[in-house]
Order: sequence, then C-alpha cells, then structure tokens
Amino acid sequence: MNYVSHKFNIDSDPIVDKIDALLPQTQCAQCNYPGCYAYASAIGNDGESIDKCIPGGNEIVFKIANLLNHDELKYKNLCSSTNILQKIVIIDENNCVGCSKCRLVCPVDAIVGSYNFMHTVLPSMCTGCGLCVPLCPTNCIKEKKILYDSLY
Amino acid sequence: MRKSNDFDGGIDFMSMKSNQTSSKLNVLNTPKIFTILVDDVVVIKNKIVVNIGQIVLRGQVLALGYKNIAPMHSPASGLITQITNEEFKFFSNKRYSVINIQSDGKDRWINRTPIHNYKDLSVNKIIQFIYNAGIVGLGGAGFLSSKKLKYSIKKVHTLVVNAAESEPYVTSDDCLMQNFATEIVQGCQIVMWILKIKFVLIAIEDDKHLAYIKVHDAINHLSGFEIRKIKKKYPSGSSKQLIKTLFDQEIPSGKHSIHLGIILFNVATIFSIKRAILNGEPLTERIVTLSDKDALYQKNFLVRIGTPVKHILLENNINFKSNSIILGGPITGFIVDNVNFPILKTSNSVLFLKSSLLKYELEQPCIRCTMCSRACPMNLLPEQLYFYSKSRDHDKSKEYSIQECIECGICEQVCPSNIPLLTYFRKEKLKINKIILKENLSTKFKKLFLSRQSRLRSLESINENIILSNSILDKKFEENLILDKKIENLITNKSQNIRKVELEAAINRAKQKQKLNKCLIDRQ
Repeated sequence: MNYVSHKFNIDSDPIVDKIDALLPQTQCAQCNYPGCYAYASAIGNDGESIDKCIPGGNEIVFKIANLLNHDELKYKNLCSSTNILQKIVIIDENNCVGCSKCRLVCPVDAIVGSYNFMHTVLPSMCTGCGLCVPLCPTNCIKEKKILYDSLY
Repeated sequence: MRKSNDFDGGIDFMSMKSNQTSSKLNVLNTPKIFTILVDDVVVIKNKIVVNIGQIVLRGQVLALGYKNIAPMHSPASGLITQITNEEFKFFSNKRYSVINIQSDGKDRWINRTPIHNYKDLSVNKIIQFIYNAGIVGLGGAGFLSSKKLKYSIKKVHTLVVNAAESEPYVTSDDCLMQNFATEIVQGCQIVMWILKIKFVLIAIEDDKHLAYIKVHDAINHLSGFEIRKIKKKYPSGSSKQLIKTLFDQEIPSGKHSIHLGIILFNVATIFSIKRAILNGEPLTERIVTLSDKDALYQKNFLVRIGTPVKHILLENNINFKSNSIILGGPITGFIVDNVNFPILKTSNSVLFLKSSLLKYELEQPCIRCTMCSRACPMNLLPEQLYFYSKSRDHDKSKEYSIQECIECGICEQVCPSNIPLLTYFRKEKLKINKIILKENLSTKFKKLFLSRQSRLRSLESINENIILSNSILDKKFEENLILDKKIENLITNKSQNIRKVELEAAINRAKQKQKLNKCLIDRQ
C-alpha cells in the first residue's frame, strides 16, 4: 500500500475536480465559500447542499445532481435564473483616489493600477463577482449588465 | 452508384414563378423616410459616425463596421432625424438601433471614384474597397464578402456563381441575370483577377430559360466560363447541396467549401462587387420581388436598402392591414408584425398573403413516421432532435449534430402533425451557442484565478525564504521580524475595528439614502 500510494500519488480529489469543472468559476463567494473550488470541495467532502450557486442557476444544479446521483425531483421547484446577461464592474475613473483596495480583492486580477494612481477594470477579464463594490471608499464602482455577444 | 447531379433528400415545390414578369425591372419611388437598422454591437463600440440634424449625401457612411458587421451607407441624400434604440422582433431577441433619414428627393451622390484600372492596384487594396462598400453575401447568410475573399487567397481554383434560386415565389436573381448579364460577367472577372482563378461555373436552375440564354450569350466568346443547368429541387441553392450536385463532393462537417478549393458567391453579390469597383457605388439598393399567394401579382423592384415595407405595399395599392406579410422567402423568411420594418441587405422578397391563410394548425404529437428524416437534405434525424430539444437535452442534441442543420425548413413542410420543427431547432441552436460561450468564459476565468493563486503562493514562499535565511544570520534580526509581525497583527486588529465602524457608517449612509428616495417618491 505504501509503495502504491507513493507511486500513484494523487494530488487532487477527482470528484471535487469534476464538480469544480461544472461550476461557472466566477469566484463571487455568493455561496458563502471563498471560491468555486472551496465550494466544490465542500460538496464533495462535507455533503454541502448543491443548490447554492446563484450565477450557475438551475442547469448547474441538475448537472451536479446527475453527477452525484442525487434525486433531481428534489430541486425541480428552484427558481430559474436566465443567464443571457453577464455583469461587469466599471470604475468611475474621475473619482478614483487610488487606494488599491479593490485591486487586492479581485480574484482574477482584472483590476489594473497601483497605489495613489487611478485604477481601471479590464472588461474582458472581469467575472462580475462584485467583491470590489462594497470596499470602495468613494463609491465609484458600479455594476453594469452586458450581453454575452458584445464581449467577443 | 449515386447520380452526380443530385443530392439526398429535398422536395420539389411548385415553383410559383411567372417567367413573363421576371424579365421586367420596375423602379420604385423613393420614400420620404428611411429607417436603417444598425447592429447593437456597433452602438456599444461607438461606431456610429453621424449625429442627429446632420445632412448626409447618398452613399455616405453612417456606421463603421466591426468584426463581422459591414459598414452601413446612407441610401439617399437628406437629413438625419433621429437615432434611437428600438427593439424589432426577429428570430432571436437581438436589439437593433435605428437611424431615420428624411430624404430631400434630390438624390445627390457623394464623389464616386470608379476604378477602371483595378489590375494596376494591389489585391489587398481592392479587397479593402469591397469592405468599404459594405458588401455582404446577398443570398441570405449575410457574411462579409471581403473576409471570404481574404481568407481564400491562394486556396481556391474555381469560382461557383450561385444563381439557383430554389425557393418558390422569389425571382429577384432571375430578373438580375436577365437585365445585367454583362455586368455579372465583369464582376466575375474582378473576382477571378483577385483570386487568380481561371475557371468559373455558373449554376442555374432549369426553369429559368430566359436567364440561361442571356448569360449564355454574355459568356459565349470568353474562355474559362461555363454555365450549367441543375435540377429544380429545394434546397439546391444552399452551398453544401450545390457543391454536392456540381462536383459530387461533400463538405465535411465544421468545414467550408474553401477547404475543397471552391469559392461560392451569389449572383447579386457579384453584381454589387462590380458596382462597387467599376462604378464606385457602395451597396445602397437591391432587387426585391413582390408577390402574392397565387403569383398572379409578381413584380421585381429596384429598392433602396432601408425602405419600409409599408411604403412598397402602399405604392402598389395593397392593403397591408388585411394581409399578413413575410419578409424573405416563404420557407426561411419571417413574418413581419411591424409594418415599418425596413428592407435589409439580405432580404430578397416581400410576400403578402391573406391573413386567414397564416393561421397555424394545432401542433399534434409526433408519431415517428420518419417523413422528416427521409426528406432532410443533410441526412439528419429531425424527429430525434425534436425530442431532445423539447426535453432540453443539450448534450444529446449536440451529439446528433444539430449544428449541421442548414435551416431549410423541409422537415416542417413535410410533417403530417404540423410540428414547427424549425423554430425548435433555431432556439436549440441559440441555446447551444450560449452554452459554448459560457464554457469558454469559465475556462478563461479558471486560468486567470489559478495564475493569481500561483503568484500569491510564490510571494509567500519568497517571504518564508527570507525568514529562514535570516534565522541563520542573526537572532536579533529575527526578533525584529517577530516584533514587526506583532505590530502587523495589531494593525490588522485595529483595521478590523475600523472596518466595523466603516460598515456601520455605510449602513447609516444607505439608510439615509433610502429615506431620501422615499421622500422624493412621496413628493412626486
């Protein structure tokens, strides 16, 4: 056993990886976990309920239920979220004082700027998680809805 | 052995085309107000060049192009009255913004610069001219012609001119060939020169005798041209079926005819390419067929792009209130609810039917008669796809290759229990496209997230290394570091307290804002 565990060492949990691949990867922490991988590991290891992902909506719940052999009928009365629109965060550049609080929090490094200088969001990289919105001291970050097609 | 001049599936409709009327080209009076649709993406990227109250000339650029969208030109000289965001009903819930132009009736052109010596210029420059003229595929797909040309340089050996108008009622290409046969040949020569092609094949359906004779006379003394009659069968005008009938070759899935060395152009597109280069005119008008249900009233008009459908009907004394109107062919076209909907670049006919005829019969359950799968020209299984798309089984419908569907609508015509299969498939395709987009986005986000995490980890490891190295060097320094850490902890605790205070302050602020809003609402 020792030899086998040494030879075929597995770093990651395969079930957790499969659940993680289904999740939308917005890293928005609306499920009360710090990221998508943390939520996936909570589902895989601790038996967390699977209907907590808000941007994923109905489809992802059904997919995870299929993967884990849950009873799908249990989740049938969920409200469906139509994901035609995606959110994006925009910084009002005239009012930015350069405190760099938003930059430190962003989970995908979509905010560019350095201390005491103006910050901006790269719209093609923004997941629309909205973690930076409450941190801004001058209230200059706003959410904006856009169509998927206009990104590409 | 299969016959080389045929394809699987398809049906032979009554053509409903009167040969006498299609030879004459009528000219329509210009309307007072043009409405031009501009794609929403163009508006987001700030590509509209004109403002409200500006005077424009015919052929002036209204909106620049962006990626797969061609630039738009003004169809007449006049004044721009408004630019708005309106939502027109279409297949998808796509939004368009509308530019209204009030024409002054003088029809003044911009300075046209015809290029007669196009062989002296470079290839890229001429392709750029074609792009600037706003030319798209006028057969129905609306793909950018300049992009097609650019992609197929040094890859193709034959040009196929698609003149097979297989849809019933539509005779606009037929009319074009009868009136402008020589100009079409000139357009072919331009494309031949751009792509260094030596062989051109013009495919015409066998019920268009007059057009065949006209084009045959035009190419009689030229080398490298060939004209061929093909069997009258819907959808022989589709690119994949046309290549199957002409060359007995099938385009593999996910590929284009350019991979086989063949480039396909519609006749109208080639005519507009000729107009763009030898006359210097951007694409502002096209030929449109106006027809009724029995094809008794069938006329071809030279219509400006952006003319409202209402104007065309009023000019011909047709009551648009008692008729329901279809823009495009009867099978692939769409019903127009809003009569102010304009003629687009890709719309080739306007059909008006008595409204009682359009009442759909009730959709009945599928009985698995397999009529649709026998008629399908792409050898798909429409009844199977219908069940999958109805039960939202996107993976399965992707597995049965719904993306290969060319939306010809034969399955819907053949179905004995009146199931609107085409609308189901269009919705399903849109959904699948959205899912693919989402998957792409999620993989992109995951990459970004992992890269950030690795960056943070590397920073941490650097800090740890510093601490380890210091422990070997000096103990005092280490103590200093520990002190620093204690101070840091203190600061973070403090900052947490500060954050609490801030949060409370923010909550108070929000409450005050809410109160203010309430007051404002009450006052109103």
